Amino acid sequence: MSSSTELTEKKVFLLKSLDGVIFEVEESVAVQLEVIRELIEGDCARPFISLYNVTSEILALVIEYCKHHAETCSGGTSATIADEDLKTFDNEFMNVDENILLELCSAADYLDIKSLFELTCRTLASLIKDRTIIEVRKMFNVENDFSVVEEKAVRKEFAWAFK
Amino acid sequence: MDPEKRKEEFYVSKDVMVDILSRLPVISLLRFKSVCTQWRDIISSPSFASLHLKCSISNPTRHSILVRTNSKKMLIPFDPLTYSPFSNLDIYCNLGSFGQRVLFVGSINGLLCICGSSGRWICLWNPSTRLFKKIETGINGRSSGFSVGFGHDLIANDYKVVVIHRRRRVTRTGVKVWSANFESWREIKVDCDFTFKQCVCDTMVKGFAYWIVWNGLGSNSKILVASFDMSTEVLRLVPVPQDYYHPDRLYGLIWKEKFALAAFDRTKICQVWTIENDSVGKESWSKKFTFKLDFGFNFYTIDAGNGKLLYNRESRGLVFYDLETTKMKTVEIRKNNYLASGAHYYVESLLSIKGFKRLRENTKKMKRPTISHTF
Repeated sequence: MSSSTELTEKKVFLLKSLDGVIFEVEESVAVQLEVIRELIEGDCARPFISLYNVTSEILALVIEYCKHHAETCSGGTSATIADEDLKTFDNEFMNVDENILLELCSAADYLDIKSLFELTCRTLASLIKDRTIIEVRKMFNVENDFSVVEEKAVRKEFAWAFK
Repeated sequence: MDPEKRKEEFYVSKDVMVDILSRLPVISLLRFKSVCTQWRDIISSPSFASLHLKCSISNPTRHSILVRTNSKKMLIPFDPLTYSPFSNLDIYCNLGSFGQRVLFVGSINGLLCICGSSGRWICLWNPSTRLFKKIETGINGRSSGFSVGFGHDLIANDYKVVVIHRRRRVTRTGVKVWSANFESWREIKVDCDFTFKQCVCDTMVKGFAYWIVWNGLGSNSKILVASFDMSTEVLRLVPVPQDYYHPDRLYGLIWKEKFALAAFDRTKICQVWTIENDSVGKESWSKKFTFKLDFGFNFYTIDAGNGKLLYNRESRGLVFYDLETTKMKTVEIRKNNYLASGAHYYVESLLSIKGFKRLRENTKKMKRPTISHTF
């Protein structure tokens, strides 16, 4: 009897990453992933969910983020202390390699975690705002597909912005 | 994973890219148009400009107060959170580029509206992209009085300029409105003759422009508030509350995102009123609160500032006063003496209107007065 109540109290989900690693998470963490919350609400959630777009390295980070946010919000501390705590955590959490940041941002979009998406977008924006065109192309892995004439024209349009 | 390998394999989707870009300052975006054709197309699209504007509006660190001055042809940007002057805001504020005598009308969604003191032209201008458009008004300031208002028609998403004009010898007031979408003027019928205080409207709030006006002469004169609805293009006249006789003792301001009237009654105590019932013919005024100012009547209301005032202190400093928090901040101007002649909120944007042209660049770096501030 007692073991069955425990089971209903602490519902767990198994999340499988792109590279096949399985993570066990509690419901309070899983619901922060909007995609999973929708599955739960629609009663379509199976205990085993495959996430095809997220590698285990990134998924581990995402779960760490959601766990901390779930714990802080339900911890019974006052709202201002919780806010401060989350701010400190978020700042430290963003202190990662920028390629990981890009993948985290994409994962937050795919898994629909609004606060993490906002946080990563904001961090990336402040990282790149003063970078050169060449640095930005390299970072986002985009190719310069302008013709020589086109590139000249687009640079001339707002030449003062490069000064 | 090897960082180099990771880079080769990983691409950010277009949607995510758009979200990151929408959080960048305008000057970065103008540069990043040169990254690739996809980025150029994203940054140039009107839908991106709207998204970027939404992000800028919701981010208070992107806001500024532009203080206009009487002696210099400059707008001086201040941080609305601390009231300290911005030192590195990338906007081009030199009004002198447009002519010798320029009046500042207003600022909406990153677009500024200015007009020549002759009334012959108005100009819409985005100081962040340095693009502008000059429009002839067909009005001659020598033979006509005029007053200009600026607004955003929220329904049609159109930017409009309203000019109230009144020929000196004929006692009939006319109103014409220019639409950025149609790039043309339209005359609006008004049945009443009235006179206005100054060459620019008193307040602009959410799709409306307001003027404090009066009709009749001497003891028969009656003070009214003229409101122009940018969407319906209708001008309405509402009598001001009680017995206020002097238009110079009435100020338009913004209170809780609504037009409010600050009225002095021969004392230094000011009554603030808002229009309660906004349906035509049934307008009633409601008394909100009073405030007392020890600096007399020489203050300016900051447009879109939600009860924020600005005044000059003995031509040496500026004082910002917040009616909501009753906090006051003095900004001393040591070197460059100037008097403020008003202030407007500004949010930078990529917004552009049909026919925008590049400003002939004055490549000299904008000189900014050295300002120190104290509480």
